[in-house]
Amino acid sequence: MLDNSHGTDRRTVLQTIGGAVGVAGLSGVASAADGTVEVNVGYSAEGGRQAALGAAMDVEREFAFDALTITVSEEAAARLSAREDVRYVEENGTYEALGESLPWGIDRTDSDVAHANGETGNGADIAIIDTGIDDDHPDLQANLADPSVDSNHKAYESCKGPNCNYPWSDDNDHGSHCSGIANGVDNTEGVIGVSTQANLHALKALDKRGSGTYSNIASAVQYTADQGWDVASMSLGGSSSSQTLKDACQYAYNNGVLIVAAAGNDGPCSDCVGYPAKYSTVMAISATSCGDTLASFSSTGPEIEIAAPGENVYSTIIGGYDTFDGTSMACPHVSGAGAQLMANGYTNADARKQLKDTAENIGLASNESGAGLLDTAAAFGLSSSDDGAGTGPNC
Amino acid sequence: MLTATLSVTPDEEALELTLSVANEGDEAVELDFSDAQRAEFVATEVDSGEEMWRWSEGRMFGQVLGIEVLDPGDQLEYEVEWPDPPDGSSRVRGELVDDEHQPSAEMTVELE
Repeated sequence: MLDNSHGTDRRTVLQTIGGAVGVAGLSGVASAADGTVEVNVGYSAEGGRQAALGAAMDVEREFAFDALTITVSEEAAARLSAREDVRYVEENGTYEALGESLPWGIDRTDSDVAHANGETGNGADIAIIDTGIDDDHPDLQANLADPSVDSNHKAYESCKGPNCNYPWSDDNDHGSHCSGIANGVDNTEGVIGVSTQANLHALKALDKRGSGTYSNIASAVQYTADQGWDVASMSLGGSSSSQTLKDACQYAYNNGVLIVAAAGNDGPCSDCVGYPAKYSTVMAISATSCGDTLASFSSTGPEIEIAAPGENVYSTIIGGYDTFDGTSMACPHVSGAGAQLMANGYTNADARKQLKDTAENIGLASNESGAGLLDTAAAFGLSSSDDGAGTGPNC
Repeated sequence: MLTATLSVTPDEEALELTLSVANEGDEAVELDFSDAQRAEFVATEVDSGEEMWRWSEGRMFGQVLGIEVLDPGDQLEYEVEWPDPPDGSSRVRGELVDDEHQPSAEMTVELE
């Protein structure tokens, strides 16, 4: 099966992001003191090209696709722009390295407030049971548990394709996207996770096409418990129950693991939470949109425990960043928050209860958002009056 | 206009099934998916219609929405393995599991 392509060229996503923190992507070039500007001129006929060359004080470049870069006076630029045989005149801006941006979900859950108060998840271990993790991504690498220690990561399905430094490396994007949401590195670039310094463990139970067997998923859940890790994050599901997976979740929960799963994307629907989210040992997470509505695709039902941002979520992918939708994206928000609490000594059951007790009431029904919207700051007893969705990507 | 074709290739004891979906129309078609699953394959008994095998049984999928855009003249292909098909006749069906169109194709296979 083809990879999960999303219709947008992922490389162009970088161009549309306005950062809430740091420098936005495109900065205009101010005119030089003498009123000249450097512009890119696209023409549709030879007349346009000749006009541009005639007006140019300097010709930087001629392209093979009917455009050139020239220095002209501002008035000449305006005159060129008005010509029928000139398609465009654009200022020759510069792309600068983007600063770190605050994805709307991190902002809306007040995870940034927790960060400002020193909560980082440092010392907690999160198992990402998924398609793997992009091991050399600048926004994930520092948070990956040491790859040279074999037991830190596992491949139940081997990585396929050109980006496989390890058998557990991500060959799909999904696992990396979830990892960035849960625990993206807090540096000067990219995104930031709900947690920022926990340890990420790749348990690659999903293959390149994003699917995995009950047995492999169950094995990954058991492994998380056997390693003594804190959180098992499962952005996966199906409509049929697996007794093996149910038993594995019971085992893991009995052994102290906080298990978090995506509720499913069968919405609009009622009483349609999928498995493993539906198991009582697992926190079922529904998805909200930027305006605090339930995402239209989100499954609902009595098993929903809390909701988290799941629409237009910007995060890490293999070698870059992209925007995805799904309860897959909501789940790791909660995984990161759970890891933060467990880093502070909470047990799995106490973390689960605390997250529910402090969730924000956003006016949705309990079968839609359970106890409410994840509120990381409130979970730590910090003021959550911030509550901004911010001007971060996609909100 | 989407057309689906199913083809099979023996692979030792197993049977490889390939679902091809072609856009034979003039306009691009956007296919929306609710999760990572793109296709389903089902084998049924010829006489009773009883289900013998379903590819997605025993599997779970990443819960992320997906889009595939099929330009005019292009096609998508999905290939899976049916590990243990029985001798004799079986009816096999492949279907795209997108939200709207769900193009599908069926065939009868005779194995020995």
